[in-house]
Amino acid sequence: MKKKKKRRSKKWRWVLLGVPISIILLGLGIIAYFGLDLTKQTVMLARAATTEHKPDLPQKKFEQAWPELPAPGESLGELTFPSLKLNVPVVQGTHDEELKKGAGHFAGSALPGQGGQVLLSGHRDTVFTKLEHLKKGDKVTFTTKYGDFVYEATSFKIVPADDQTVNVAKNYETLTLSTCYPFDFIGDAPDRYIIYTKLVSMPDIEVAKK
Amino acid sequence: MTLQSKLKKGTLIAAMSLGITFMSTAPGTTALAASDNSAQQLVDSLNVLKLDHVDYLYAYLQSVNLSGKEYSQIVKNTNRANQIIRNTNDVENLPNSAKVELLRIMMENVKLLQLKAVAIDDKGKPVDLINYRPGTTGLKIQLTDLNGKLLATFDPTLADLNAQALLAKINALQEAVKAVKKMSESGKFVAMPSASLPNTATELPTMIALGGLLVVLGGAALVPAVIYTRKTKQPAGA
Repeated sequence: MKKKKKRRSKKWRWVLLGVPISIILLGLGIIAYFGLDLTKQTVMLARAATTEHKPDLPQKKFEQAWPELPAPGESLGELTFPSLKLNVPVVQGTHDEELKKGAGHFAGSALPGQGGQVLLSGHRDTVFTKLEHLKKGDKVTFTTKYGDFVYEATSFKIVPADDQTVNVAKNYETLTLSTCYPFDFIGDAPDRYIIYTKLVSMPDIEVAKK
Repeated sequence: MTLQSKLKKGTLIAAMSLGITFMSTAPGTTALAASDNSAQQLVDSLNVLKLDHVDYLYAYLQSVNLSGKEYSQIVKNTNRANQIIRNTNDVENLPNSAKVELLRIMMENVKLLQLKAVAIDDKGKPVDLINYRPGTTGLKIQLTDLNGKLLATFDPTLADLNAQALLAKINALQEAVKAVKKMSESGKFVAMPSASLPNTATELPTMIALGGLLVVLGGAALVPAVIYTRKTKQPAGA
């Protein structure tokens, strides 16, 4: 009888101990599962934040003029207006910092020799002040590393600042200039002055490449 | 949203998709149009990111040469982000491990696209994210190329932490990559189909005018002031 009682109490002791131990183990398991996941993710985040990604392949080279994309602020050449006796440096990009350096080439438009519309913009109070005096038929030369691209002013247009019809992709070589309008406006000019041109001559890109 | 309105919307979307498919098979659709579509897809994807400008990034992404491994990692990351966010409305409700994983995924995708993300304050100074205290200063994210040239700036708001908004941005980045891949088939730079004209407006004329006005006003005030001081000096000297 006594032996049986002892066995029973032993069993109960195991049960009594087993329940809280199981709860503790379950708790530890949950902490380990979620804690480990958080730790793992934190370690992976730290690794992603601190390690530099080395690209598998080098930068792409376009199979045309300007095979390497110019970086913002990089010099592209010079714009010359013989009738206005004006020379303007041209850089890649049309954001604030770039426009301080000269006329800017809109990065989303084609570059000279790529067979599209080249859009150059500048401030009316600095590089493009004299642009209001440019007349139809006046020549504009864009001197680049490939040579001189000569254009002729064909028409002028005034559009609202939010216009989306001028800065569009074209499938022929042309140059378009834009600046603020009116030229003597005090404050944020509400319009843009657009000068359309046609290509007169351009260098042989393949020869220039060599 | 009721089932009826959902059905209505679904029908409308299906009809629009059919219309677009029909239009794309119409005669005159050329390879040029295909690259134009991809270019537009790239512009639309970048617009979802709500950046200050998209033109630099648009051009830069075309110069990025992604390997198959990098491309599939971006896809894998995006799918994982979708899995994490799909069933939540608020990113704040996600477990910490999921939040950390999301941040890592975004960071990794930015790196795979050969971009760098830099946190800056309102004055443009780099911010140490570990010691950053919300509310002390604004927080913006600058995206630069590998040489540190600024391409675009993202000014996040609370609305951007909405799960769906975040997911839209992660998916948009993948759509951008897909568009770039299609565009690269021509081997040529594809110009943006259409964009706003660059902002050439400056404060220079306004500031010069303001300066001029202040000089005139100062001059006008100086004359009676000088007369008055001379008058008041005379009896003392006399």
